[in-house]
Amino acid sequence: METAPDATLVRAARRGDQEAFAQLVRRYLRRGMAVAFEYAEAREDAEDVLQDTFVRVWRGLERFDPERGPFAPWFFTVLRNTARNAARHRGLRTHGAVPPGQAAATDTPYEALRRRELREQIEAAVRTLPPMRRSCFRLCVVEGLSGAEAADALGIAESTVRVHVFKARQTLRDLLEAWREEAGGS
Amino acid sequence: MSELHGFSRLPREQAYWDGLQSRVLDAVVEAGPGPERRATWMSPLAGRAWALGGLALAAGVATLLLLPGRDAERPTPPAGILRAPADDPSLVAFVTATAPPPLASLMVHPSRAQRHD
Repeated sequence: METAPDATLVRAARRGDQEAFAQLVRRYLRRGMAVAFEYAEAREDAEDVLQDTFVRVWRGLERFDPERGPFAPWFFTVLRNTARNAARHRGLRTHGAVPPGQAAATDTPYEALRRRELREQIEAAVRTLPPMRRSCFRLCVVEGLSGAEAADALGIAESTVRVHVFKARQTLRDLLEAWREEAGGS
Repeated sequence: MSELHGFSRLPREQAYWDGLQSRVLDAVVEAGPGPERRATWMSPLAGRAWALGGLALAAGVATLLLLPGRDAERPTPPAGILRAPADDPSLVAFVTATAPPPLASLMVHPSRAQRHD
């Protein structure tokens, strides 16, 4: 069942097979959480959104026909709608919930400082990106989703994702170059 | 920019993901039976949908036929109220009189007046 295609798992889950549904949950948990983080930056909110999404998916499986299309776009559509509803009804907590950088064990104090500064600069640069570009960048470059997965997750074309990622990289490169020059010159 | 994977906001500990998965699955179980099981208890009814629909229709028609009509239910007014009592001597005297009746005759019924006399 580990390698069964989504459609097979969906068909089994539609017959009430909870193990098949658990496999779908395992398969979509991390990607779902990455996308939920795009709507709710606080981890607790993202978890709530993800949990509500899976419950809705479970209840709504009878409406999804695996013969008519893949599961992923439908799943992420449910997730986006759940996140938007949650934001509208209870207001999601938003804060820069980025975990602190891990200093390498071999870092000297100077290297550790430089690493932390670089991290802060990158975070600041990412925050300057327009929201959709930022989401594409985070999902593809930071979280490692493929262009197609990010496209499903965000409900946009894969080509649009690629353009956003390309432009985001360009913007970040320019910003970081400017910072390096500034830091090197001072 | 390969270092950017370190910027992920997703926790790395497997224990976290195991816990989240359990939480999600608990919520799913709490949400009730899946789609097919919901359909299962409805399916015997769905299989007899035509028969049940026909029965309901027949019951409706029978109810309409057996209900008494509105006219039948309306109470019939006493004939005396609607019909002009042509044989009432006081009415005949009133209608055929050439002059208005005296006030006392309107207030006291002639038969009673006669009895008091």
